[in-house]
Amino acid sequence: MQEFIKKILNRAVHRATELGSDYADARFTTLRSQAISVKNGAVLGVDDHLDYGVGIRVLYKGSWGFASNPDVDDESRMEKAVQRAYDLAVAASKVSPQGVELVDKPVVQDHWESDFNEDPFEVDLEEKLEVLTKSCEAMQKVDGVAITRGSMDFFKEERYFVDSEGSDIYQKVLQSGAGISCMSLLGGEVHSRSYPSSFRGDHNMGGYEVIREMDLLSRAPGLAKEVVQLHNALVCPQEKMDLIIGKSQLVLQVHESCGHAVELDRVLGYEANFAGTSFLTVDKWKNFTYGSEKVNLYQDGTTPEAIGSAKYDDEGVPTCRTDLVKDGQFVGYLKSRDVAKYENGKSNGAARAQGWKHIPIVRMTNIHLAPGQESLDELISSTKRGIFMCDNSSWSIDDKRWNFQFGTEVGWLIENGKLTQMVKKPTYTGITPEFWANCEGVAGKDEWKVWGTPNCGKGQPMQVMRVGHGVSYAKFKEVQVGVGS
Amino acid sequence: MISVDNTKKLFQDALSLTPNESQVILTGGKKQLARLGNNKVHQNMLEKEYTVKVQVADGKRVGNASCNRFGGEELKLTVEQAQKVASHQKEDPDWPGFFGSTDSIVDEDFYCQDTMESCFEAKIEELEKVFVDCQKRDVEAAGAFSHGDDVTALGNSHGLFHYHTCTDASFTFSIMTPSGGTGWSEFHSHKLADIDVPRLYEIALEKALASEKPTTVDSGEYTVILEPPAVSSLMWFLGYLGFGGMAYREGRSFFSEKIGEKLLGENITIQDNSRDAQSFGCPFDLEGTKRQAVQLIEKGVFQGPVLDVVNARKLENQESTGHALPYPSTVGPLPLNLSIASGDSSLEEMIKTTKKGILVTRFFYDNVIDPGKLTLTGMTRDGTFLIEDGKISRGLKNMRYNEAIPRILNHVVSLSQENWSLRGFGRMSMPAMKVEGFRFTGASL
Repeated sequence: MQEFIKKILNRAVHRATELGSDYADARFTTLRSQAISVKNGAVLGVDDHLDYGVGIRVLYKGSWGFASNPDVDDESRMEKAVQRAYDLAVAASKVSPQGVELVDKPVVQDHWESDFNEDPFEVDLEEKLEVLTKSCEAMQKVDGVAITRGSMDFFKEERYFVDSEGSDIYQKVLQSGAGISCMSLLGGEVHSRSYPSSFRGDHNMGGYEVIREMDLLSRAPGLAKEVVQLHNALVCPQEKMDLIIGKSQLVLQVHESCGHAVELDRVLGYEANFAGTSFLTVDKWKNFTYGSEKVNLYQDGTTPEAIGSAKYDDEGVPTCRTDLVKDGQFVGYLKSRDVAKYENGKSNGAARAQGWKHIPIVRMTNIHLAPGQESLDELISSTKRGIFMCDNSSWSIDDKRWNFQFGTEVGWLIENGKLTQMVKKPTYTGITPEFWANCEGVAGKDEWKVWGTPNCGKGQPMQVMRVGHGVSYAKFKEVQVGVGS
Repeated sequence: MISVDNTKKLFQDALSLTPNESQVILTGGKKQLARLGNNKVHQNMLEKEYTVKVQVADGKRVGNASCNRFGGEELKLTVEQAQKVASHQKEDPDWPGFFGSTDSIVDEDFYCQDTMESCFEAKIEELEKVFVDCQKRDVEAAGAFSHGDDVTALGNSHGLFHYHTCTDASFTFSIMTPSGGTGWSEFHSHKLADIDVPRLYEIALEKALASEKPTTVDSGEYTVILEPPAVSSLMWFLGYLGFGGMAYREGRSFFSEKIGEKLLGENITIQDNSRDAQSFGCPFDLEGTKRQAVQLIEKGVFQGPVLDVVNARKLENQESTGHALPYPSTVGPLPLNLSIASGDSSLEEMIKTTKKGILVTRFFYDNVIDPGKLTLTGMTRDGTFLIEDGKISRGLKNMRYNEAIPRILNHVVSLSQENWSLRGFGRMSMPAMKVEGFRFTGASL
């Protein structure tokens, strides 16, 4: 199979070069996925999916053309796809005099596969369903719980990459995720609780062992009790107070206010019509205080357990670790080959495509908030008045990534260094650099964990990517909470 | 486009591969898209893909499998996989079965051959003048220009066959000035020829220049004039959280148990209709039921949700309205072709009659705070203006709102005569609206 695919890709790249392309690459990907959804203990659906095809990207006089073709073994259709990609590049070049320039990258021939212990596609469906249905049943036993849900998602993806510079790369990744949630509807109030995180749970690189480690069933009864308790919880106060953010919510805070803000294509205006731009303009590079000295953010496309990892990105550039914010100072962007020149550097392996029919664009791989020195207990005990918020329920941020507002499923009031009352529908809002400048502490490596979000959207047509984030807990002073209540 | 005959042949091939009750759904199409940024075309691409979803029922145990292959071994493997999943499934007590029908639907009402045969490159060349003008004015253009076709077809072992195809062309345009002005325009039609590039540039440019050096106003309640794209963002959530039959039945919807109650303003009438020329869509749902035009709100009174078979059976005396999403749907039936009945005003008239207010071109990154109360938050974008004494006085920085949709739709004082065709949650037909007491809670820098 590998030799057959290589031959097709090499032929496509060769043909694009013959036509007059300055550069060409071809990617073949095959994705096998399984999505399992359970609701109220009954199986809502099991969806198995398989797709494959080739994407051909051509650069002509500084302009990109891209065409995709699912009929990989049909020579004439492959030929047509190459021709179409070339024609589109030529058409774009006629109206785009200032084209892109690709920065250099190493030419590699390599083969890489992610690690796993237990192939989830070999695990009996009955076993997976039993975990989810039993978890739902355990939540349903608690009075006041109206709706219970469980889900599992598995992705096995093979990626072949060939380009006109001589690179030839095969990669294979296996990713697994799951989650459970419950909902309570009483007196016109709707509350939800989720584990390990909301919106189809947590996802990591790895096999079914990822699911086993979650131990969903053991967490179900406690989750259900909490969702019912929320009806009698304190309404979130409307005031400025200290805020401690729990793990899965901190994931989204990092994702939205740092991860997207450091995408260099956004900064340069290539997403201006859709996802937006960024306040981290090029004049701010190495010249802007993003947060307090406690704040260290970095991208690492090599984190073994993280869902955004690979050895190479979708331009064949090696993934790596690079600093984004160092001791509070803004120092780096996420880059692809066609935007890297603006930072006088090299691509840091952040060009990714959802699949064969999508063009690679700048994407997060894994964006981590480095662990600090404190513990969660220390963050709480040092707080006179504040809220501890966990598990995202709502997120919104402006098109430059300045103004954000988040809601979480649950919070706990902190008074005189102790967690006191449960808080319902907590929300907070802020301006990104002001918020991170007020970061007073980050919990240490013992409480640091890599999380995965499977649904990061960007680009047109929309590309949905799986992205990893390593975080622990973090404390912020003087945050406006209770907005929109 | 895959023809009706080829689709029938594909379905026959797939259905013949299993002795079980089964159904096949075909979705996909061909799309060409040029993305603009920094006064150039920075992505120019073609994508073509069709997905075949096979559903096999073994009694009340149902398995699904899908692939992007149509023939030979892959299609066989997909059917086998669906069958294997079904045999390992638990029984679904709510499984409605597949339906037969003698009334086959073949719909090509909104398919424009010229759109698919037009030379997209020629249309792109119209952008050259725009880019040159932008450079002269020292402003930046960004946008997305696309056209293509879609096919949705469904066939099953009970002999049902439905087929729908349509074309779509879209242009969204942003202009940004160095001093912080931004402007937006958009146009959507099933005919590529309807897209007037120079006119769309003119609209976006005018807004961008008028919003230069934006300032802020205090948070608080304002009279707002929402242009149709801003209205469509709110309707997206109203459709998703409010009008779906599953949320209604489970008590999660704001409208649960409120049929016949006046919940919105007298001037609000909302319909879902796949045959509306501006909000057109597939005339059948993915259970195979003909999609009905459903009056959701009549003069402020809630008339009932959209339904699929599963949810209709769980409600008394109800039938499917033909709004099922593909099985298994975690969200239940939803309206995909919403429209708000127009009024008798115009944007110009709304502005002229406003002493102090804010004009919102569109919203961005809206999200739910409280689904039961339909409370949302989000930001304004690409043209937010202060109106004073009947005139636009200056541009404003983007503002954050926190508002409940029912409260908004109880404070609408006028609606425009003209509706726009918009995209997002399916297709929509929306007017502009003027709303009193709209709550802003913050602003961007």
